[in-house]
Amino acid sequence: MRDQFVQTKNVKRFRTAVDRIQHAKLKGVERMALVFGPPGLGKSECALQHCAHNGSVYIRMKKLMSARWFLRELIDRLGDSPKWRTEDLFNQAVELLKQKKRTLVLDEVDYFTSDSKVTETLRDLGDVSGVPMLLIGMQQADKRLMRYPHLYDRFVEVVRFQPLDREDVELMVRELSEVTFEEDAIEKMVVESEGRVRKLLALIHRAEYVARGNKMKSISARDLR
Amino acid sequence: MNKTRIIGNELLKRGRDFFSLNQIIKATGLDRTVVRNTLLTLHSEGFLRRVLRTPEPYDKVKGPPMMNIRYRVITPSKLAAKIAPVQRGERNSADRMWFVIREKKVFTRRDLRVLAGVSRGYVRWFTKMLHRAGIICLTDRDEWSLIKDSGSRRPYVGDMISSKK
Repeated sequence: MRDQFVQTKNVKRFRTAVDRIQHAKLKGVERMALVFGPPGLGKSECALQHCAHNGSVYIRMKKLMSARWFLRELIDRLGDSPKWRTEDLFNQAVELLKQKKRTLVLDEVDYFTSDSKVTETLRDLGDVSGVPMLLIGMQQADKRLMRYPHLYDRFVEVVRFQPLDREDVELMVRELSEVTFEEDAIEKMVVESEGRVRKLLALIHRAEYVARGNKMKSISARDLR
Repeated sequence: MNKTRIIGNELLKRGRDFFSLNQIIKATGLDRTVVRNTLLTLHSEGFLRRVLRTPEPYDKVKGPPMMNIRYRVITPSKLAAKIAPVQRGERNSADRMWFVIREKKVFTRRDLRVLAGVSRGYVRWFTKMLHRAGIICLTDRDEWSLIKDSGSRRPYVGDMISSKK
């Protein structure tokens, strides 16, 4: 399998959302966006790839995460050692974010939707420092965050990751696989992968294994049994 | 915040005015030994100039007299740069790989190639060096785990080849 990051429609939607929050400070236009969708569609991979190339701060939220834990992790990611008092921690985070504006990418935001302290801290950080924030959540993340209208109103872009369609599957297969897939094989991949990146990668691996074992140059649906 | 930064911020507040050891101890609330050692280090590194050094009135039974030392910051901008938190510049390939390793904790070489956009050879070299330094370990077939997280700055592994020889 080739080592490439494929630009599917979901990735393009993700990039559009990031572009929309990285504008210059305009009055009344916020810098927050939400990306959500079912598991296995490549949200986290997409976010990691973006952060690795653009120097954004990536934090994966945890179920037990408190506002204080979040601030400590944020300061660690910003390259400083966290202060002890909560008030100092918050001010330190704001100061560091103001010094060099970097987009905050928070993954698995569903975890903190039950803790209003973290949600409100995020809103405060966004208001005070003015950094762009991208929240990534699971399937029901938008509904859960709607319970906090003060936060939800600030999203300038809400992107739902969709399952891969035929066009995306074909693009991924052609860019990643080292063997040629016939049309009927691609149709079968669309059905079997259910539009999920994880499943599709496993199927491509299997197909390549079969092709290598039988010294085949192209794969048809019959070979994918 | 580390102690050098606390003391450095206090010194910067005074600009180019003279200050004594006791004044800094009082302002920062830190231990006398810590402040004295930090000021001595900053002096030896060329950030401070010693303008006065006289013995304080002798009230101790034994031991050398305590010295009343006055310092002055030579160039405040240089001191500010020294105590400032680490600012990252543009990320290079190794930085990107270190970022992915830290975030994923358990990863494959393919993850590094795809997510960090680095060539196969460089990924191989970098993981090998980190493995040699005891920072990552191989847990399964092409599955690596981070075992020693040294923070957001990537560890320097460039001299590992020569040390191996």
